[in-house]
Amino acid sequence: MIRIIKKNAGLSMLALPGFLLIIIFNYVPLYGLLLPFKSYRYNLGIWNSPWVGFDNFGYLFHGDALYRVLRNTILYNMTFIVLGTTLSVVVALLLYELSRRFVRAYQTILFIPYFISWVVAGFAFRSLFDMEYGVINRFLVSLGEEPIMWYSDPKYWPYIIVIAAVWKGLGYSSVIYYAALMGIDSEYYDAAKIDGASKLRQAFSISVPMIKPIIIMLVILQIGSICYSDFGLFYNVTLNSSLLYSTTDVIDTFVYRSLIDLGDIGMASAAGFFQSIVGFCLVLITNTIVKKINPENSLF
Amino acid sequence: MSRTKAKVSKKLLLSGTGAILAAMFIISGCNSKDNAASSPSGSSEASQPASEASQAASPEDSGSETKDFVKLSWYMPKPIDSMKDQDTVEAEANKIISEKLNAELHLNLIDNAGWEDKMKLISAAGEPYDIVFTTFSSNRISDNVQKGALLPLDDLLQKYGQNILAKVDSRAWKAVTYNGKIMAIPAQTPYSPAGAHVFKKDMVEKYKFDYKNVKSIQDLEPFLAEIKKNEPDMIPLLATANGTASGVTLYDYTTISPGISYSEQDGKVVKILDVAQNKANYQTINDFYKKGYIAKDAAIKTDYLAEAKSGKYAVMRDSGGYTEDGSKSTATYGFPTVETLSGYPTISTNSMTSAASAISATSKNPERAMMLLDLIWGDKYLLNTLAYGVEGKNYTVKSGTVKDGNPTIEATSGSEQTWAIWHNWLGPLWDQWDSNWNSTAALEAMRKNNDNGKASGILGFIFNPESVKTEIAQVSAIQKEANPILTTGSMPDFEKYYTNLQKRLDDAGMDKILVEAQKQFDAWKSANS
Amino acid sequence: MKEYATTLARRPLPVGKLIIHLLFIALCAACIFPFLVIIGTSVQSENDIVKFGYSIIPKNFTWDAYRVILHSPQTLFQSYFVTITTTVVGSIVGMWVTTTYAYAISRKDYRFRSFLAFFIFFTMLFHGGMVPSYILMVKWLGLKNTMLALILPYLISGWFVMLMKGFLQTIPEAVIESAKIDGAGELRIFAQIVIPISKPALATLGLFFALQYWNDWWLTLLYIEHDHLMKLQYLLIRVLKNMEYLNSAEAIQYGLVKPGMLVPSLSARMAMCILAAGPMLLVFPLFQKYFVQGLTVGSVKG
Repeated sequence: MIRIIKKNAGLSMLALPGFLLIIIFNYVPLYGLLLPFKSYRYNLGIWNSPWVGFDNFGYLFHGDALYRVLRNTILYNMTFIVLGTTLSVVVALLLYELSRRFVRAYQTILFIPYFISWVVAGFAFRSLFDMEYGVINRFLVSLGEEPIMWYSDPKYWPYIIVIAAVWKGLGYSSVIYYAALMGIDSEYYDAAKIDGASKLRQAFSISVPMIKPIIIMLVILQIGSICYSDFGLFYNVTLNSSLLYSTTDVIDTFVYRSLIDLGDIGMASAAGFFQSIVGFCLVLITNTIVKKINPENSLF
Repeated sequence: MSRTKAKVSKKLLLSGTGAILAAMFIISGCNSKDNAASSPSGSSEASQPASEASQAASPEDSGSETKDFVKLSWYMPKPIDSMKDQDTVEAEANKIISEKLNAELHLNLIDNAGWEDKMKLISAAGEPYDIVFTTFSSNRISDNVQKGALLPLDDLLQKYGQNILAKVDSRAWKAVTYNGKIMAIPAQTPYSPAGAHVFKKDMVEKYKFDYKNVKSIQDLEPFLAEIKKNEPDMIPLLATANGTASGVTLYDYTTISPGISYSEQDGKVVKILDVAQNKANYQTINDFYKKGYIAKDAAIKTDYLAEAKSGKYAVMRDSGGYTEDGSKSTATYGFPTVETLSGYPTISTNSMTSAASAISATSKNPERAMMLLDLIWGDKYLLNTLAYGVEGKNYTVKSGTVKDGNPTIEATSGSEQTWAIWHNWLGPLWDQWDSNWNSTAALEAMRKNNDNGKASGILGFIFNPESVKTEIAQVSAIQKEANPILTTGSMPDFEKYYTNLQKRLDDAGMDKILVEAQKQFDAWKSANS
Repeated sequence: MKEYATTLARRPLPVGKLIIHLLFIALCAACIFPFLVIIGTSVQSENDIVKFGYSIIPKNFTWDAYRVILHSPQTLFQSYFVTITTTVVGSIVGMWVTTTYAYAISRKDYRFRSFLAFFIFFTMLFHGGMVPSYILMVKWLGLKNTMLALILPYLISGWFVMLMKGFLQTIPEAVIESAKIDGAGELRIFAQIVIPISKPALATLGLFFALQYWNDWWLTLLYIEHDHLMKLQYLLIRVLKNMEYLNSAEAIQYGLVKPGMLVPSLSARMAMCILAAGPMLLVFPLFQKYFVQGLTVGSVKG
């Protein structure tokens, strides 16, 4: 036992500062996980507030309200995972082919949307989709077409939402894969070139396999948040138009609308708890499968 | 990639409006935000500990009540972001407070971006503070009572609150009484501000519209049609996701809980969508929408005031009250307007708690806090100093003197304004000096309006949602979805939409809420008759 | 030989390259367009926005929005100072604790790697919520209204640790083994071998940390009441919220909006957005220069 500790002491010491921070800032407040099962009274504190069992979860599962939002949330997230990952890897691979000068310019510009908060982005999108003044409708009218009522017609929104999400996150996520590509030993490519492999072939037989572990890891992590949704995206880009809810209502916007009148801490925590539990189970399952196939790629 | 986003978004990408802040709050396990009808008469276990605290905290210390010097804190939203001069204003006020009460006041002014969330956290964490601003919708009084954040004030008021007891509208105490205990001090505010139709003056003159005879929204039709026909650049009627023509919302129904109202006419508790007049009004709005009197994208507009100020609408709603000459809306909207009265809402529990002060259950000096509040209700100079600031710096005297009598002053406004607290946030609005904010005549009119206002038949009844929380959450979600569509009339088939909405609400448990509301109402009625 | 191969690799394939460039130019246009709208709107009057919608070229040019925001520039300058300080300190310390932790769990011969990986992963999905965190920070640690409250909670997070672990586990075991045989301690191996060969990863992490601290407003909302400790993004939200509040029915009803009062407008939102994001966008290319250089050094390690 002592030998084990001694043998691992060096690395343990390295991990110690992070470990302590995690305990203090993440684990100490974890007693808050009791909140979903409590009727919280400020003057009693979390421990002493009365237990209410699963009452706080009731509003999520009563009737069929959850069905629509859960379907939307999961479908959007699956699209984001597949499309988002593919596009960022592709962008990273393409950037890799260009000279540094261009990479610098393109990457900087691709990062701009990341700095624009969703509220402000909502206005920018409106400049495109506004019924009267929007760029697209003015263009349609100049062609003699009927203008489209973008904000009242749900059928366009799955596309717009996905485009908005990609638009905003592409710069950030492609940096990760670009950095991973940069870490690949150039000798692999040298060898491939001598063999006369084409660029495309090099990408598929060297680049992608080399960054596969990090792709897999990021995908597993994304699966963990499959029940979470980016409130800002769904609330602001749609301008919270309730006419679009059939395709744009997700868990977080639904919970927001449900509790705006009640302001109940316990019920709000219950929604978060539900999202966490689902994500947690999915990650455990995925991780086990990945571990079976290749232990190196598993999360833990 | 979206993992990147999901992770980062939580904190970074959301950067946004209050709505989002509130969302963050909900998602992370807390919530706030306004609401018309809300919570509970505090279950007995909720207010019990607080009352014990009050007894423990008010020992028999007569005679030496102000012996020890104490510091008092008062949490309040910050009326303007560029608020400065706090030190000098507090120094001036503390001259009086320390002399009379051997105490010192510090105002904790929190900007609107953080007010709801911060206050909720401070209370939830049990942080000590003394006085707090609380209303039916902001830092909600019913939540605070139910969660045990406030101290019952009955004993303290009897002992130290003579000025307050003398000046507060006696009806208003009912609105802050939970389980027989007074939990806050209601401020003097307009209790039933009139609703009015506002017309753009040049349009009314051009088409010689007899606006004074508009009694209902249906009467607007001929004028709207004329505008639609002849003024291609104008939109006849302003409606947005959160505001529609005056009078659409019925004046003689008082909201109990989302979707449930009390009829002032026959004393019944009803589902508001079942009321025929309510349906007829929304149908008219839908009719207006279909005829093109309302902007096609009205349902996504949310800035009512900004839209009104743009001057491209011919008919709008009031800007918070009615003036016969239209001066109020002319000043607020920034172009000549005329108004006609549409109606007065009844004075309800909510309207009487649109501003109130409460003492925290965590206060270490509740007696001194009450004495301070009483002093503010009694000492005009102190009140107006806190509200207007320091003479010469924040306001100038036009006539009279500030120390005695009733001066007329001019407070700095516009971009020079560095200090401002609204008098009703402090409590006594009628004690406000005659000024460019509100003339004494205007205050007198408000006061008279309050006195003559018809009190709701359920004034003092506070619905406790505890047992039907699940249903209310579901109903809220549906209502938030439907309201923008109803108020702007932007549905293709009104009849289908309306009946379907009724069905969805029933499925969500509307009847269960109705039964519960009826039960609580009956119990309240028998206890109060 | 190697040199020859590299030049070969870098030799442009004209048509292919052209297509790639065109693709990126299109992408960049999509990213710049909204930004231009924001700039255009920020110099447009409120009425014009309501009347004509958001647009790149303002009908009537006005600096009003900037005047509203810069009305009290001390708060703004102070918040630049707070934002820059927390970003620099937070990024440096955060990179150290994150990288050391991630390095430990990336080492296959480390006994506790699975436990520690799960230990941090768990925090990614389960949070205690705001109330317990607030009690911890304010009541137990006494950090309300301090700069530390703006730094400490974000120093280590599951997402960054996992990302770094992903990068670091590609380091060949042989490199570390040979250092061990030479008798180097773990700290020395980490500082002298791992760090130098992980520059692409460190550059990414540094960038992400800087972005996180720069864009944060949440911690200000929770823990700061004093104007002189507020971060930029929070000021942006304050402008938004104040405008929403002053335009609310309640504010109008109780006469809170006085004629002549300074009400921030739609354009003020945009102006604040530019003032908040602008500096980072200007700094970003400089930052990125080192970022790319870091990658260069890393990539020729073999």
